[in-house]
Parts: sequence; C-alpha cells; structure tokens
Amino acid sequence: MASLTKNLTNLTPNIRKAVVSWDKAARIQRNEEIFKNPDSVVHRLPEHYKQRYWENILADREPVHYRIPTTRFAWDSMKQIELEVEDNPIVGIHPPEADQGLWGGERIVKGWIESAPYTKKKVLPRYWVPKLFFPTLKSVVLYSEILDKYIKVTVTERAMRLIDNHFGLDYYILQTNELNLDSKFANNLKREMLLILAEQSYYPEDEEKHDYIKEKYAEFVIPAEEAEWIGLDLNEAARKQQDIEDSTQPIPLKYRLEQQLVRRLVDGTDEISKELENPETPVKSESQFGEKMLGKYLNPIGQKLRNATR
Amino acid sequence: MISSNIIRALNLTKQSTRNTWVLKRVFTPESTPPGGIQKNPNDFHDYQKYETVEVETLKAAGPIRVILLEDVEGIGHQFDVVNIDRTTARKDLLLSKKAVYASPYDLKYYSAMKERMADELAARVRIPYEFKTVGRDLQKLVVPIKVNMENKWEINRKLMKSSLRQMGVFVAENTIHLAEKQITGPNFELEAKLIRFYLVINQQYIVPMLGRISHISVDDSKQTLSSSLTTPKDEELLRFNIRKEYPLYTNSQEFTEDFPVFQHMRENAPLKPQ
Repeated sequence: MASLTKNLTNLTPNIRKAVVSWDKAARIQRNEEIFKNPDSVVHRLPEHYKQRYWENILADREPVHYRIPTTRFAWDSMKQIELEVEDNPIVGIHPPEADQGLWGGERIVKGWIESAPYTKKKVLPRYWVPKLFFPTLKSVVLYSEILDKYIKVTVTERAMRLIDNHFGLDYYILQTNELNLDSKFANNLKREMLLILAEQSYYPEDEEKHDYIKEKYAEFVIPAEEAEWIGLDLNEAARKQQDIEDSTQPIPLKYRLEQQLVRRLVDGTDEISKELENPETPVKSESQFGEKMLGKYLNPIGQKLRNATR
Repeated sequence: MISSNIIRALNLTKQSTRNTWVLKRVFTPESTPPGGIQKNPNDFHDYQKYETVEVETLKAAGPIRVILLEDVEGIGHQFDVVNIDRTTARKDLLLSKKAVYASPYDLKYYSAMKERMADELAARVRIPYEFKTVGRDLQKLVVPIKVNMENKWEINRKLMKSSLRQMGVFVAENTIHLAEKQITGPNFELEAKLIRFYLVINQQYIVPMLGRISHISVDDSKQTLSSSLTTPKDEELLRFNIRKEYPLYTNSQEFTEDFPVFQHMRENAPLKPQ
C-alpha cells in the first residue's frame, strides 16, 4: 500500500529527481505509429514545423492543479521507511469548450474526495465520493493591440492574472508556448498575430502607432511562411501539407523529357543527333574476310565464294 | 448563527467568482525505477484521491501598475505610472485606452514621450480633483434663503452663511460673493425667486451657486408653500434671467475677498463643463 502523503516529512533540500513525467511520455508516444510509417505525410512537413512540434512535445507543462514536491527523499513516520518522491503531475480533462476560450492551462480534474473528512474514523469506514473540480469561467472583453480588435472570450481568473503579469493579451499569447496556452483559440490568435507582424499590415493609416507596434513586438517577428504553420496541431499540419501537395498538379513525364531534349539540342550535348550528323563515324565497308589468310592463290576461289554468298 | 451563515455565503460567493484548484494526492505514487517510464497515476484508483491544498486565485492579487495615457479624474495625470485596482484597470482604463500596462517597453516609450511633451504638459491647466468634486457637490444645491415675512431684511453675506450652514455647507463669510444690487424685503414678488451668488474655494476656484428666497413666519397660519429644492431646469433659469455657468479655476490664488468676482464671472465664466 502506498504511503499517505500526510505522513511524509521532507529529508532533503529542494533537489528534484529528473524524471520524464507520465503526461510527457504520453505526449511522446501519442503519434508513434504515424511517425513509424515512412510514407506518412508527417515526414514531408516543413523542418521549422517539425522542430517546433518536438519542442512543444518535450516542454514541461506549467503545474496548474498541483505543487511540485520540494524534496527528493521523504520519511514516512507511520511506516518507518524512506521513500523517493518525484514530480507526478495532476492533469485534468481537456474538454472541447477549453479550445474556445482562454483557461490559462486550467482543466477539469476528475477524482475522489473523502466524504466527511473531519469525522473521526477509528471504526467507521472511509467513504470516497467522486468529484469533478471545475474551473470557474467568466466572459470578458479583451483588447489585442496588434490586431486592434476587441475580443469577447470565456476566461478563468488565472488566465486574466497571467495576462496582467505578461503586460497584456498580445504579450501573453506570444510569450507562452502552445502547450501552456492549452487552447486552439489561443493558438489561432497566435498564428494571426504572427502573420500580421510578419506582413506588417497593422495600423496602415497611423504611422506612429505602426512604428510603436513594430518596435514593441520586434522580438516575435518570424517569416510569414513559418508563421502560417504556428499553432497547428499535427493533424491540422498534415492536412495542410496534403492540401498543398494536392493543389500542385503533377507535370506529365513526356513534357519534362521534351524540355530536357530541347535543352540538350540547344546546348549541343545530345549524343544521338550527333551520331547521325557526324562525318567521322565509321563507314560501312565490304567484308574482307579471308583476304590475308588465303592470299593470292585462293583469291579466285574466294571471289567465287563471295559472289555466291552475295 | 446568522453571522456564520453570512460569512459562509460570502465565502461561497467569493469562491464562485475565482478559483484555481490546487490539489494533492492522498496517497503518494511510487517512484519510477531508473530507466523506466513513469506510470499513469490515473490507472490506479487510489492515486486519484485528492485533497485541496488551496484555492489559488481566492486570494486577491492586489493592484496593478498602469501608465495613464490621458488625465483621468481621481486617478492621475497623463503619463503618470499608477497602482490601480485590478478590476477598474481591466474593465475601464485598459479597454478604453485611457491606460496601458506598465510593461518595460511602454515605461521607456512613454517616459520619452513625456520628456518630449514637457512644455505642453506644463502649460496645461489642471483643476485639482478635490476642487472639482467639491464644486460639483455645491452646484447640485439650491440653497433656500429663509427670510422673515413681517420684519425687514436684506440679503447679505451673514444671511447667506447661515443659509448655507442649514444645508450643511460651512464657509467663511468672506468667501461668499453677492450681486451688487441690494435685495430687500419682505417682498412677496420675490417669493421663490432664484438668485445667483458665488463661493470661492481656496481663493482659486469660483463656484456659481443658486439660492431661492422663501418667506417664513413663526405663525403657522401664514406659512407659504415651501419651494422645491431640486435643481432648476434651463427654462426656469431663463425666467429669472440667470445664465447657466460652470466653476472657474486659476493657478494663482487671486480671487481674494476684494476681487470683483461678479464682474469677472460675467466675462469669463465657462459655459461648458470643464
């Protein structure tokens, strides 16, 4: 039976064990089969997308619903044993609604809590009742400086505080990685912002404001070709890649060969046509078979033979 | 019993407005052997038994720092960096672009802009917020000037001071400025007539005020109908030949006791709110 957390006392200072947490392992293993298939479209994705994808997979998720342990070894005073504690995240369920708002990494945690925890239970059994820990949501209006738009969106108080700490919605979206944004809406917003930053299409009429935005968000500018892949999950990215491939029509082989031939002819490197026109090619001659071997004595017979076979 | 219920209700309402559950497992999961992969704790029932450590966002986060982009009444002047209540900032100042978050870049950007605009800012006349609020409260009043039905009277500073005091406004006599033309009575043609007078605050701020004459008597049978204390409409003001005016401010303390306030206001009184 596992140790009760309440009986544990810290033994070491805050040096944590390096461990790949279960949720990261699940993320890594998530699309294993797709990557093992050599014909899969994921191998043809752009390099910058692949790099960002793996950075996101291997990033650590911000601890939202739990605290990271402050020790490596702990003493169980009840069982009189020393045990190693490690970072074991509590990650909740990600409902589709979370993709439409900014929850700041919050999720719905499913678990059990003790019923009547303050009743003494020397004799009575402990009853555990199922519990869903829901985040409290509210609808607010946020302003994005880059897009110059007011956005009505469902948020949690945690997301609002994160926005405050990052000095605004734009900084929050751009500085936080996709794993911790934890919402498709936020990812789409990020892509839109980066595209506008790349194209410099913000505030076309107001020059002062245009320069202000350009300087303020200079550190986030990436090329537009990369920006349009930001925030896509693997499925969306693969679909996008497939669409790009399908939209470019394949050129029939005959046209390619024709072009090659024309190029060769223009350059004068085509060997077949050279052979036809070259005067130094060996001239077809009559057979001299047996001329030397038989000599002048046999020439008349040879002549007869040749005439017969001609 | 009731108080504890109220407290609980308050706590509940607080909880419903903001929460981030911070949980801990009742049972500690076993540590991962070296080279192994951490097991999913949700596969085992006991590791999904939780206790609440705290509700993180239940605690108020305190004020936030913003840079004001314009003069905001009661908060500060343009380019001031102020600590302000989070809700006010989120719902009002930041959305209406009256302020921006005090990010390192913006602090630098707007301090440079402040230096560039130094002359313009220094030249700007700014009425202190205290003056504005006091002026606004005073302007809402229509001071009933209670005069005698039988005995002779004239409207002077002393009478005005006592009338103001009855309305809860305590001022020195030398800050009240009346029209030069004497008003005397008893005269029932003046009953319920509005008159204009001025109060000067700190010798800097002239507040136009309204008074209404009302004749009273100790004899109950002679009492007139008491006039209403509500702010008069524009037509009513026009009837008494009174112009709608707003307070006048000056940087130096020039509106002393001897200053011709009436003449000055006739020429310079602002006709729009400042």
